[in-house]
Amino acid sequence: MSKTILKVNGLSKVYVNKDVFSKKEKQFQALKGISFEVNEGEIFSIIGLNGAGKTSLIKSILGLIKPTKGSVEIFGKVGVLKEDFNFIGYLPEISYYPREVTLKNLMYYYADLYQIREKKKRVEEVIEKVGLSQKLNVKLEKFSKGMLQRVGIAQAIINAPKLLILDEPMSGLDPLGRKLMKDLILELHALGTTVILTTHILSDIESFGGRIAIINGGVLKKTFSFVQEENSHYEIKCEKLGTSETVIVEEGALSVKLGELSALGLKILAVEHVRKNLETIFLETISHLNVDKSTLK
Amino acid sequence: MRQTWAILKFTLKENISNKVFKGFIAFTILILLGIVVFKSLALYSQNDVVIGIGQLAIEFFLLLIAIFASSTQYFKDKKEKSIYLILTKPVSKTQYIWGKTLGIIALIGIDIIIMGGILTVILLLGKANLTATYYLAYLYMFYKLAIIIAIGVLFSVISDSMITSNIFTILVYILAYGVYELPLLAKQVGGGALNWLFMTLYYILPNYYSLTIRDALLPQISLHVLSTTLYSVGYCVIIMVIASMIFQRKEL
Repeated sequence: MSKTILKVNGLSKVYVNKDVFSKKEKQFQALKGISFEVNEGEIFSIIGLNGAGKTSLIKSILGLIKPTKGSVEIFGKVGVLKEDFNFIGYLPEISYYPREVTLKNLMYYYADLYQIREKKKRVEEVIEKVGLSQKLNVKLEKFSKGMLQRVGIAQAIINAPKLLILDEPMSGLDPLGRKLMKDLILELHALGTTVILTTHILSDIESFGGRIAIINGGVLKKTFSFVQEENSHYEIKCEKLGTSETVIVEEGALSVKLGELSALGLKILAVEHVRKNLETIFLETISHLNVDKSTLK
Repeated sequence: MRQTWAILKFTLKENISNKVFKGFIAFTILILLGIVVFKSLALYSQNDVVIGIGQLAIEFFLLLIAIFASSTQYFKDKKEKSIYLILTKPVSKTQYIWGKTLGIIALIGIDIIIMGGILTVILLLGKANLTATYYLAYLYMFYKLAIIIAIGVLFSVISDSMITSNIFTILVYILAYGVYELPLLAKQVGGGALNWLFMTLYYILPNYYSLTIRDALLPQISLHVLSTTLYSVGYCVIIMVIASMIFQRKEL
């Protein structure tokens, strides 16, 4: 059984905004009692609409904001300590880098923060991994958005982290950049790195497999393992006495059902293999949430 | 300690390569050259005019850099989210604050050396007789700017607005020159809240009067340099400790 690397227990976060003049308080609850666990070596994707609470959740995990309620356990200890960051890599949603410094200087800086001994060697390794070897001595002002995102990944993996947290890693990347990012995430995962990522580009994470959490309005709605085969079914269009109908059959039960329908004297018109993609599951979950909300009203 | 040093070095490197900073330096050098061109307009003590206006120009432009860099650094890092890249590495908030502040102080120190060096060369070419007070004025200028940098950083972590942080830092700089008048003012208003306010400000605000070099100080200059050095370092350390404590509790 694999070890739990991260445990989130009933995490809630309320942002309070106080108006200096009117003394009125505005409150916004970004997270509402979120609990989940991430095991060592898995890819755990957190999906949700913009403003669902993904970034607040990541910031709470990293100790950048203090949760109003609940706790976070990383590497078996409550809270994240300074020393824990030696084993954590993090890519924020959007980050700007000083434009007038070279990639080499920036990466040396991050290597110094980790006190990496052979920093020249390590910087060259990670820069090669993200495909920017030719740009080592180029100032960042000459980098495209996609290249800067790759710089972000390079700084996140410079310490060879056990736990890699990526907030919207595909944001701003072109198809080639997305492919490179996906391959890199899969490569790190194969090497045993635990990856937690947030995104709202669902098609990108279908290929990762692993577990997926859907959050909406600060609530963890669903956690599940996404396997394409488990999310597909057959639709049989058949006809009897001039009336057509559709029968839905789960994966693996097709031949039995076809036999049954024929025995009942139905004429089979068409059989369609329908794959339920992540987007469908996500939208279904979100719409369930809306139904719940209206019920509450 | 190593992380603080790494942040210090990078802050220095980042600011030196900044185009706005380079523009400021170029503009100050032009002003210094301008003073030399127009020094002939002075009726007497032409070199004293160059020294006075030259050092004033250096302090003024470096003050702008110091205030801008210190009171905006935290806001800039937060807005650009680069602060998350630092604080999610094995770096404490205290190391971040100290590294950034010392980096800006080092930047100002290097600027004083460059600009002061240029002015000194100009004066030596004009066969000026430069005294110890001339050179010490740069050291005291450095102390004043280091203190204002620490205060700028403190305001940037207290305030939620960059403009408020800038305004308060400028206000402290202005008040610091008149702080020695505060006990007199307190005496004049007698007792009460105003007296308490003036005396509190007198003890809290930095005292730039004692950081102004005067010829009258020359007989006991070593003692004065020692006391002002201790005062400046102590003041900066206290302000930085307070800024670090506030920053520890701040959410990002």
